Amino acid sequence: MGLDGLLSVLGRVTVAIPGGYGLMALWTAYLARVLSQSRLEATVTASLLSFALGIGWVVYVFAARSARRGAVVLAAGATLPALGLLAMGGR
Amino acid sequence: MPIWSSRRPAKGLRQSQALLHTWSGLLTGWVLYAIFLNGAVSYWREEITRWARPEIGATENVERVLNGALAYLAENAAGADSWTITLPGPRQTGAVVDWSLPKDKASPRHDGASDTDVLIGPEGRPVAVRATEGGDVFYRLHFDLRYVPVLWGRWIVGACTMFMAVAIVSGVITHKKIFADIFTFRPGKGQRSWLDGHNALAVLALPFHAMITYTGLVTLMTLYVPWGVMANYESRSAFFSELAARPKPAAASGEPAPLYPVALAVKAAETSWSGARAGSVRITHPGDAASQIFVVRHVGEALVDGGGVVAFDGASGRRLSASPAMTPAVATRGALIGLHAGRFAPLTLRWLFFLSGVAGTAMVATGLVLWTAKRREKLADPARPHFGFFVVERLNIGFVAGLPLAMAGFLWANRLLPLETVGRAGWEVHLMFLLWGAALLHAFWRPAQRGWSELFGLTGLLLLALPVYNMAATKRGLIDSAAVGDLPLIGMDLGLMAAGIVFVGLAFSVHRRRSSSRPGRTVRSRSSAAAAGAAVE
Repeated sequence: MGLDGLLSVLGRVTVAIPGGYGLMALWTAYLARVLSQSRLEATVTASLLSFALGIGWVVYVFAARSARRGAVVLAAGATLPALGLLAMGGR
Repeated sequence: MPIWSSRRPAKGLRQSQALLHTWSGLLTGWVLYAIFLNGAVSYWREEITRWARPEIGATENVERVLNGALAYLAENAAGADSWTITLPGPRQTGAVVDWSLPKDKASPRHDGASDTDVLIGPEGRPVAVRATEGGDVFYRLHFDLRYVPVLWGRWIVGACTMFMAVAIVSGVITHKKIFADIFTFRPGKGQRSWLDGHNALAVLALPFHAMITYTGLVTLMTLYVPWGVMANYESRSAFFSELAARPKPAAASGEPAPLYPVALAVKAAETSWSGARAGSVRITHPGDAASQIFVVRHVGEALVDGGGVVAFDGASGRRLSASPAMTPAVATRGALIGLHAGRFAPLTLRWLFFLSGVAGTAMVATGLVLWTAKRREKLADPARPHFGFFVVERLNIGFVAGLPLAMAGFLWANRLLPLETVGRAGWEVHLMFLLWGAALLHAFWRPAQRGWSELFGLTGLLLLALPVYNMAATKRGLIDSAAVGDLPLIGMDLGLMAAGIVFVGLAFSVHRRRSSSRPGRTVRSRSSAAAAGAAVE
């Protein structure tokens, strides 16, 4: 595995793990605010689902065509909840 | 084309998942082994605690114990802010009483909280039992680890659990003939056999593995994914009080009033739960007119964790409130937690969970061994492997064979440590870890195959000797327990014997493989392994 390969692996790991945790954070906070149930229900629902998101994300990143592709999808996936939270004045 | 070049070829999905599976498994495999083994054993947590206290037998009469507990508390904790009594049941004996004193009444030693818990025995009187953590040792080890701050332990376990979940998904994706392979096991073919074994253990109990992993994450949900709570609540305690929906106990009125017979309150609560058993009772401001009795349903009486609290007025016995019905997401979370803990499970289902947990433990172990089996063929000189291989192989021995040895050692420490030892409960555990350390040293020092069979063999002998010691040195040996029909203790001693036989069997099978392998076989197995390796890739 040359330098090229090593950088690719490190790229995927970065997008998958800290990137994935960031996605989980954004979507959990966003869904907790946006879901139409009571705040308790929405909080619990969003938290329960977040693990599925994180696990699926890691699997996807290592299946993606390249680390760069994964990073692009990460940015795309983070946009909606990030903008939504900003608009709602969330933390 | 090398898989890690910057672009993945289109046919490489199974390959990419195979590599993800291998690495996520290898990096966390040893910790996961410890989690699975201790988690599986924790299905018998209460039975192990009973076994660890041979001084007392089973409780025949719950009410006698409850009244004895109340009498003890009335005598020793009369001015307390609250009393707590955990009730005995089929799997736990005696009652543990605890109390909290108001700050002004607290003696300098107590500092507002109670002393160590007091155990009220089956006769209704306090009993002195050996200081031990019992089954709680293995239970806490599987999510808090030990000797590190609890939060660190939970984060390490949580991270490894996420890796486990990824390993499950990637393992399923990468597995080409998943249904056919359930029934495939080809022994004696080197790495092909290890792969078959790993696959069989994984696939046969796949629903359990997926469930236990996901629900494990859910049990510590607010730690791992706090942002939902952060987005909607001012503080975590605000979230938890809304979640628990427990009524706030009233403050003391200052007027004395005799305490309503608690046993009647417990009966009334159990009737309202259609006969489900109470697990504990909490009495606030006993002896005061504003005292309240909270009867909590035993956690094993319902699948869904949480709820099950009935409140009574402490002076009149009038029923005040009961836990409200749970909303859907809250109930889902409770059910997932209940599934993980398995406390609701009656005996047969508990055995199914336990055996699935053992399968999961063996799945992790065979996965770790498979890593070395695959690479052993490619070693230039098998007698002097490269550093990475050496470390993995020896850690495999130290964990897979060394940890069960340490756990058996804990049970022996429980029996042999002198009762007056200062910090006895802690020392039972220190000895367990010291033995584990010795096993790791042994694993790195001895030739690999000898290391396996010696550690497995010693574990088996230690386990087999325990029921024998019980019969010779305690009143709770197998014969005595059978005579009184004490099922938990009978099960424990028989289980230890069965486990001992399994480990002795493992030691023999490793020993036989070592003495039967000759230089001539290596050539043949290398080529068959190469062919098998190509088929897997």
